[in-house]
Amino acid sequence: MFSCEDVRAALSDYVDGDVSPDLRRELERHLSECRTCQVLYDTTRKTLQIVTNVGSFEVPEAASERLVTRIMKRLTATRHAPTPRS
Amino acid sequence: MLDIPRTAHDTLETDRRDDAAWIRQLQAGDEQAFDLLVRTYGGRMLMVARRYVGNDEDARDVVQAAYLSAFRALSQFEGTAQLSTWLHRIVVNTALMKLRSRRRRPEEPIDDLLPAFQEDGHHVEQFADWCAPADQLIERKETRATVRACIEQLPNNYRAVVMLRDIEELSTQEVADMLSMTPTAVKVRLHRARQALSTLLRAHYAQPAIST
Repeated sequence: MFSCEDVRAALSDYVDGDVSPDLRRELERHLSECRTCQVLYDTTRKTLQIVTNVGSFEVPEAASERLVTRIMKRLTATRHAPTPRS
Repeated sequence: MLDIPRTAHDTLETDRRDDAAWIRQLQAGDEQAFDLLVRTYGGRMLMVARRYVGNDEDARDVVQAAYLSAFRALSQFEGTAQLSTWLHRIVVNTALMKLRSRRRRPEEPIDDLLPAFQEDGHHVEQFADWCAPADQLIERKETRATVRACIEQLPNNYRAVVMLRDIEELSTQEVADMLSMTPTAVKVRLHRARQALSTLLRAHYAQPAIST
């Protein structure tokens, strides 16, 4: 019989759909009977959902402009440094 | 003279079709083409770098170093990947190098953020469900800042795995290759990182615990 600790060990793979059919059955049986693990599973799933969706942190335009200037200055300095040409 | 896209929008519209022309101009040393490369993808790359290194100053250093690396590597770029994908990979690698070079503070243990168990394998504590469904939370502006702050609280090695696997959506094998780890070690670390993140987010979103 699966313990809560066993569930936790397999939870990440389960959320990713990366468990064998036998293990899936065991996990789902435990989850249907254990409220604590059910909440743990549900919050893990929600965590993943939020984390994967949070990919768009805005960047102020001014920061990008400063960045362009900074990089182009460095690039110009690099390009004008003496280098051997083939 | 080849036409190159003038704005990020134009670039995204024309994408791979014009990448070849753009790459030729970059490889010919056209400064305008490189300026456009920085202008078009600089903001996006800054976001990527910030998620790995956790602060603006280091992120700017990473992006600058990455663009200079890209400039040096342009002659070897064969155009098999899109320019943005190629650049993205360089930024991630540069960010990972930055993380490896950090020695300011010892890594914090993650165990305190993982669920604890009794000897019989049952949970020590009861967990409360969240106050709202994930899709509702995602709609809230402050959620991004909260999640970002929680990701930043993870130790470097754990944060890198979450970033690569769950945000960049690379495969376990790809993450293993980038971090010089075995796929099994990646899975273990990812699992612990997700649990820790879940604990950190629970502090913000959990309903008050039900007393038993």
